[in-house]
Amino acid sequence: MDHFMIPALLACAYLAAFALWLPRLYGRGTRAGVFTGRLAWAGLATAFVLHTASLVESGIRTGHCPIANAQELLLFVAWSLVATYFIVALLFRSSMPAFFTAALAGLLCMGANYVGSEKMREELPLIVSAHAGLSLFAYGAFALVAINSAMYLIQLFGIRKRRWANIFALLPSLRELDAVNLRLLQVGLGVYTAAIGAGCWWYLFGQGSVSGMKLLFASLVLFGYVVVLGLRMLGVLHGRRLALAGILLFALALFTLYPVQHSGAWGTNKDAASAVEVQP
Amino acid sequence: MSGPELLLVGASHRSAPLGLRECMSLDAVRRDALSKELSALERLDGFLLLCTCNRVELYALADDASALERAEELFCKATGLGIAGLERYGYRRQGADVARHLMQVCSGLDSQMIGETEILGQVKQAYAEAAEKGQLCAALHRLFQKSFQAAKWAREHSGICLGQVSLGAVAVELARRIHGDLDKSRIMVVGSGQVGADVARAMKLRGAGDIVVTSRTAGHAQTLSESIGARVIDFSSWKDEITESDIVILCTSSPAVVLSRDEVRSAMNRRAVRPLFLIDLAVPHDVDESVADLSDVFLYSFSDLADMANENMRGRMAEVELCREFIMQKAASLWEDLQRRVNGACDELEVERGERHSPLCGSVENTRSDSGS
Repeated sequence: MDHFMIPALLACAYLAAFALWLPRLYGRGTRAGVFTGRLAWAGLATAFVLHTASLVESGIRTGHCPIANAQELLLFVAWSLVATYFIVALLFRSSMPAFFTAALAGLLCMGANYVGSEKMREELPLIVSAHAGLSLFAYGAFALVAINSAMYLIQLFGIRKRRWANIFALLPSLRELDAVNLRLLQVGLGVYTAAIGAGCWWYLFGQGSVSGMKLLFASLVLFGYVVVLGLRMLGVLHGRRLALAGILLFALALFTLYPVQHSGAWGTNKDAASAVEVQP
Repeated sequence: MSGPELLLVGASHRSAPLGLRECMSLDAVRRDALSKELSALERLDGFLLLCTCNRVELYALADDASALERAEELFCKATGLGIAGLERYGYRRQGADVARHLMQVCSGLDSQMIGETEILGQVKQAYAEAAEKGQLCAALHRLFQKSFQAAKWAREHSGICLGQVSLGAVAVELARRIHGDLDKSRIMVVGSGQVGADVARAMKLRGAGDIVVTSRTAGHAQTLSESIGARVIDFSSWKDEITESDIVILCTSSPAVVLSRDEVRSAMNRRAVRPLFLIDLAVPHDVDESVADLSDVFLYSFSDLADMANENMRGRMAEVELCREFIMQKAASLWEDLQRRVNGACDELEVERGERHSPLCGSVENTRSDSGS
């Protein structure tokens, strides 16, 4: 299967799961709505299994974590997003609807269809693979924060504007969304810190080199999320402002992927002078 | 013999005013007395009495018109309606119309609040009691079972049950959208207005565990707290309690605002990070309307809740025709089926046993003895 078939198929699978949720929004409580809701869950789970299988196959085939190019990066972020969703849904028993997750995962896979799939990286040391994999997994958690925040704003809009559509009843309560956002921020930041730690270890003790641009943007993202989490825990930033911050920060984090991707990030001191071939 | 006939007589909120319905209401003693009289009627195959706050109805099946006439007379006498009263304030249905009416009742289409599900529980309760006492024949069993199935279909395949249509239920739904499960929320009721009490009761019924009430008149607060299982707090300190409360229901008779923007802002600064849901049910308002602009504060008035309830009701009404069409078809086919079964069974048994009735059209006494055995 060529490089463009897999993202297209995955995008179709996720978007199909998203589409299956729409009848449930319209016919909440009816048998047809419940049936399509279950079908949508099954669709999302199937898409996730296919996605996981394609990443595993790609990893076995290439012998490294499948994050060697922009296409694989986006696919990995989409996978991390859905994986984090399932973890949060099961671990915290959150009733957070999955249709937003399916939609965003579908859009990311669709985006992966339009970006380059040429190999931009040679084989990486394990620690660098771990760094990149963890970073992208953290991005998945941050994406979920953004989705959660969007749901918060939608629910808030409905309550403020006295709207009574089906979608509002399907969304979790404001308090639950706020609490889940806090947990997701903690999880995402924990994983991201571990990723940065792995990168630092490679840089300091593993004869690695890193570009200043990559360091700057990674630090910016880390700093942004640390500030937001700190303010949330102090009770200064919460509710609507936390939701807005969650969305803006994720947009910033996505924006930094481009300079990080093209900054010639990782190499060794031996080839630091010509270190343009590898980046996370 | 003209074959078995199905009869319904009764009155409901659609036909009789509230005062008359109250007089007609059959308490347990009157209901038992009427049941005994009906059971004693010869050639009455089966009957069921349905008594709710909004309707009193008798469903009866007999293959003898005189038995049905006598049952109708007994019903009119027991309810105090009289035959003339039935003509004016009640209704009388026969055949397929009975099946159609019962299906509409079970589906909530004939309820004061379209789509409400409580009526189905009440009909099932009446059915269970009648079945236990052996008052039902096989045809009535089938009629009610099929009506329950039709009600289930209506609930599952249409939107007649969607959305909350009472003030209390709307308030609960909103509270859930803000706070999630009510068992973790603290609710404070300020004042002893009836609407406030109804909303608090609705919250209690849906799982609210921690409710406190306060009122300028201590006796009113005590009465309300006993009726909803809440604690009473001193009226002088209720504003301090806002910091601990998640939902505050205000229903005082104060002519002026009792909760200002500054007071709410001050309370929000002192409380932990969580939203505050203020339900102002008082007329004139108890809460300064500018409070709604504060972050994490959600202020809803009586008219807001009423508007939302009405909007949901309009949504339900749009689904009514769909249900009616389905019920018309179901009732017609059910009546044909019942006639076929009853006539078939009667013909066979008349040939075989002459006088004795079949289980389908057997007398009340026969059915009772069958169930007893």
